[in-house]
Amino acid sequence: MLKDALFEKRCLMVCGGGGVGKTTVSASLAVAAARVRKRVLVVTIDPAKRLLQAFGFDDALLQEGGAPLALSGEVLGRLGLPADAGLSVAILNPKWVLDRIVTQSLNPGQGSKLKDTVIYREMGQMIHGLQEYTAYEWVTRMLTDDEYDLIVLDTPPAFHAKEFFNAPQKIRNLMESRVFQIFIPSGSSWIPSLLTFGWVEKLLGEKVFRESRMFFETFTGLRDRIIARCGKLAEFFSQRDVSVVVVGTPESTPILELEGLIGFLVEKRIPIEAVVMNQVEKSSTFDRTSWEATVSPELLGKLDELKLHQDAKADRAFECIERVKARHPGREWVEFPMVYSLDGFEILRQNAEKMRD
Amino acid sequence: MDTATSNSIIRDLKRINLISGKGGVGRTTLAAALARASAAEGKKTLLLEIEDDSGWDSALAKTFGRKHFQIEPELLEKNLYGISLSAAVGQERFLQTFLRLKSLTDLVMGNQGVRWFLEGAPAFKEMGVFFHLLIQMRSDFDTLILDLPATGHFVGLARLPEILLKMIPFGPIADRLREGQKFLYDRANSAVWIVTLPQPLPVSEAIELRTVLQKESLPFGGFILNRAPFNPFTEQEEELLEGFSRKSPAGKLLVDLERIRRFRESRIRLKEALASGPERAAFWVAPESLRPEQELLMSRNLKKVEC
Repeated sequence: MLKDALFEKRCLMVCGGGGVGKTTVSASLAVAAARVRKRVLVVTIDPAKRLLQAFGFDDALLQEGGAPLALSGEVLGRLGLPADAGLSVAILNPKWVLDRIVTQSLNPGQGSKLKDTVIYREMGQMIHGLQEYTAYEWVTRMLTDDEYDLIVLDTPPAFHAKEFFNAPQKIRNLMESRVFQIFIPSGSSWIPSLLTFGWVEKLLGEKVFRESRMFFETFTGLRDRIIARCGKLAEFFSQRDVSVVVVGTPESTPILELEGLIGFLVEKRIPIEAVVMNQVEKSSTFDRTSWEATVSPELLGKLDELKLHQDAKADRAFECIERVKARHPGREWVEFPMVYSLDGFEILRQNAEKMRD
Repeated sequence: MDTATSNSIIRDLKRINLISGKGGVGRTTLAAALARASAAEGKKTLLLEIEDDSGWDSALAKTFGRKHFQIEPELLEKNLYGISLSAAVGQERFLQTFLRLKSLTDLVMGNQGVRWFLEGAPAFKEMGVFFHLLIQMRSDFDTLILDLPATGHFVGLARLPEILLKMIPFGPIADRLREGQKFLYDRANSAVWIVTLPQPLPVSEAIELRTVLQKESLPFGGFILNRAPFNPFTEQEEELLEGFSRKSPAGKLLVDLERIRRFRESRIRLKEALASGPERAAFWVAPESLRPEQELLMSRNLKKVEC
């Protein structure tokens, strides 16, 4: 049960396709957890800083290094939490995590040499899976440091939600790939390396070749550590206190992605705590009798039309959810309604309330 | 068939159109609808997407009853072709033009070291995609419509030449990067379109993305505000109803009306953003459809917002 997970787990990863509202769901879970746990942290990698906005923070408060920010008593109150609840929010910048790894693993001279290469500076954009990898690295560190009882991770948007889980393997493949061997010839393979050098240099020109060489040479110092860490991450989900909350919306295309993700997680034996259906359309709240006296018959007719339209949407969402539920028996489903008229705090408060039932 | 009217979005499309937007905004559906509308006007149209190595079926190809697009333009419907841009294909084609001989290319591509490098080194994947795109931009298609991935990779792809040119200022790669850059940055022939939804956050993100385009000097085509709600009311009626529902005991708007209000606010914000921008850009609104099959006709229902 999701309710129990909020009590017991140490890390919940919130996953789903783009636009399904992962950030809102993560924030809602964290609010629900903060009723029962003392130290809850919700963390995101979203560069749009939506999580900060959801909790009423100004971007300017975000410090270099990404130290978590604790919610003020006033905000906690608006979220329906006691003033002494411990809820913090953090934004993860992959660059900071990587810089930290560099500082810890290389000597200062090598470190600054690496940081000076264009490749390193643009790395976040260039290496697939790096963002995700840094998130794992960071969460692992936070769990080890034991500063928080529960960490809710809002996973980054990706081409496909499952990329998040493939990231450690991807990074590991890159680290173990022979591209390093081109630049760092080991004893016996110097002849093929030399041959390759010529081609690569001719193709790329001298400058990029020099840069790449410097990058790969210094990066080798980090490689072993990253490979070792990736190996540990494979076991990450076998920990009993880590699980995944899958988020989707009841529409035809997002549902396909949601079901694909569930199938993938099952295949990888990654534990799914619950499936959250977000942005679920509800029936019209139009009450004809209370409007009859106030508006013209013509306008009333239009309101009827609008009601029919809204109800049709709600029916469609309901049918969609029923169908998908039937295909995945035995899972826990939680529904968050589509809301237009509430402020952000109220949405989080009501969603969190739902999870107590 | 759709016929050309002054009100058709096809008039606002450029030769090269990059369709961008966050996940879940309906970008892929719109890209397919625009491509169909362009083809229906008799334009030889190419619909492009970037390969996805995760092994999932392509949502765009699915619209045309396929699992994936091919690596060469493939006829989908009359006048309409589809293609999947692939890193490996781009890399190979580039080498071929550089080395001229196919046999020599095979030799180099066959070289373990080169292959490892192309697969593993940062940015070379994107570079391959970029070259594959370049080949299509050079082709004789009248209209190109590229469905960009939902993530930040987009600005990555557009910025790729700039980043790489810092490292590779001369030589055959640099020449091609500059050629591609020239296509993408040419205001007369290219445009980036931003698809968004009538809700506060997506609208903010669309406006932010537009600022990024401006900073990168990429030509901006306009906003497409998707899933406009069903709205039978005149403006006066809307105001009247809002006044009533505010006074109602619950003190809350009807859910249904609230959606309409959000749409109106979104439209105003996007219009204002356009008015404050330096370039002339278009603004189109697409209605929400209850059934997926209606989405195929979407381009016909797009309405231009006068700014």
